[in-house]
Amino acid sequence: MPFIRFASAILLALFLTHVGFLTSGLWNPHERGSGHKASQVEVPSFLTWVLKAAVLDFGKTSSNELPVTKAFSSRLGSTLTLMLLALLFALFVALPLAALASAREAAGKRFPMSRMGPLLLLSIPTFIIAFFVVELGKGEAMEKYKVVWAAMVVATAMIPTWFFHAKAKFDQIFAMEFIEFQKISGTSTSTIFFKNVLPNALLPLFTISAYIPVALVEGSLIVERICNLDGLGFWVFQAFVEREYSVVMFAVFISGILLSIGIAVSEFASKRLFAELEEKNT
Amino acid sequence: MNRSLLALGVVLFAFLTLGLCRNTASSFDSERINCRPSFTAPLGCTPEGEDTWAVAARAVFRSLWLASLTLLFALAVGISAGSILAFSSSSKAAILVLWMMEALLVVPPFLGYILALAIIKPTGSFGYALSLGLFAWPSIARLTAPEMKKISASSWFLAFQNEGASPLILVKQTLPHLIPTLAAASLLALPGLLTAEATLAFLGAATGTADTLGSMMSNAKTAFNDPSQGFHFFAVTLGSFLALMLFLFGCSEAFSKQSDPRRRGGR
Repeated sequence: MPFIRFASAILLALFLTHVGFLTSGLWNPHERGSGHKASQVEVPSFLTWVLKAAVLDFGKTSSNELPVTKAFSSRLGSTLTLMLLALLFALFVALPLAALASAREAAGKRFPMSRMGPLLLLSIPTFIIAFFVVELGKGEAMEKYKVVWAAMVVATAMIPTWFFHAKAKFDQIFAMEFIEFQKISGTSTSTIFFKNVLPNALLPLFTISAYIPVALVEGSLIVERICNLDGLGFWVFQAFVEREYSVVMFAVFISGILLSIGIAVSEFASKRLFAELEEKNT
Repeated sequence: MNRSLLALGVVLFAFLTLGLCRNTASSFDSERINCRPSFTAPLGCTPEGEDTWAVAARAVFRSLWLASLTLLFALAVGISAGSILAFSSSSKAAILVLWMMEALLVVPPFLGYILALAIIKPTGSFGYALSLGLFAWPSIARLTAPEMKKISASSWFLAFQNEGASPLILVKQTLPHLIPTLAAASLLALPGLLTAEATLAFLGAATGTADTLGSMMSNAKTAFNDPSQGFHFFAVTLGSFLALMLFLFGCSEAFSKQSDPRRRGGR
């Protein structure tokens, strides 16, 4: 029962967050400046929060007294655009590069950037790339296409991991006997790639789909903060820094759901792959 | 690859050793603030008037120390959790561990780090290691549990068990077999923790991380808006960070290749 499993895990994560807030005295209304609006808001009991959340009432933000869901939906558009663009950039760069590197290596040719390039990209933290983009790209063009630039930065964090995963799968399939047989029988490399290698490699790639929401959530947290994009990442980061109970709980809840979907897709893909392999073997 | 890795290691070692041996200014000297590279200060000075080389070397060590401490905490908790899952998989403790692992799994690590830092508010290295380690141990436990399970099914282990060996002895006998797996995981986790620390410090979310590469980069970013300060401080900090990351990733890759059974003729 994956639903019960994930629901209980999300509930525990929320409970731990709630307990952390209470025991550390972090969300102490008297701790903050008396003029701060947040000091007027009280931390509800966990059960009250859960019961209210069940009817989609996640409380109000302390900064502008807006319902959390409304504040969330007003920022959802820009973050979704950012995430989708980042996903597309990562897909369109990592997969063709991995396929090219693997095909060249299978043909006995060298592809010099296949190891050092992604390794170098992996070593440069996302915040540094975002910082350089913001500092060096100041101007009208940067302001106009801010989301596109930010999406490229988020994508840079995903490209190396996807490249390594995809290349490993492509390498594995290129080394299989039936591919060798196709090569000997004179089938062109492009036909072999699109008819045999790509369909066989795509399903195993779904097994890393659990990683996608993590990368996107983390990427938007970092990049929106540095690029000053008023999206969900920026909002959530501010909420953590300013210790806003309702927003933090909502952020944990939403990221939990996103990650659970990612894990469920990944598990489904793994099971499907396993069943297909078993079918092939029998 | 291994030659360039060795060369990078030697350069990094020389940079760190010579940097740590350098004297930092003991008294305040206004002329040294943001001074350009010269014979006495080959990599220039920081906005506080300190020797950049010495400060960068100190920051690399401090960052490595914090990341290692976090890793040690994660290893200790992860191995314990993995042992519980492997040796008493149907006990209440195992169910609780599994539940905890899943709860931590549904929170993205970076979000978890910010949450833990906001809640614990660490003031020193240990508090910081605890904050980050809270979200780093499940990956170690996930690696340890199946390995331990595999070992517990081996004939020598069953013989030990039949002779009435205590669970402590059994764990003691199992741990050495986990070293290759844990070493590979640790080498891969270390750059991740360094990046996490640097990102948190850069964004201003980390407390208890003074004098680290992340906090240095955060201080150095003002140089971009004020060209009179020069870019040397930022360049040295970023250079040290990248060199360290490349070295650690290179080590991790070399280790994984070396421990690959296919290279040793195994299956």
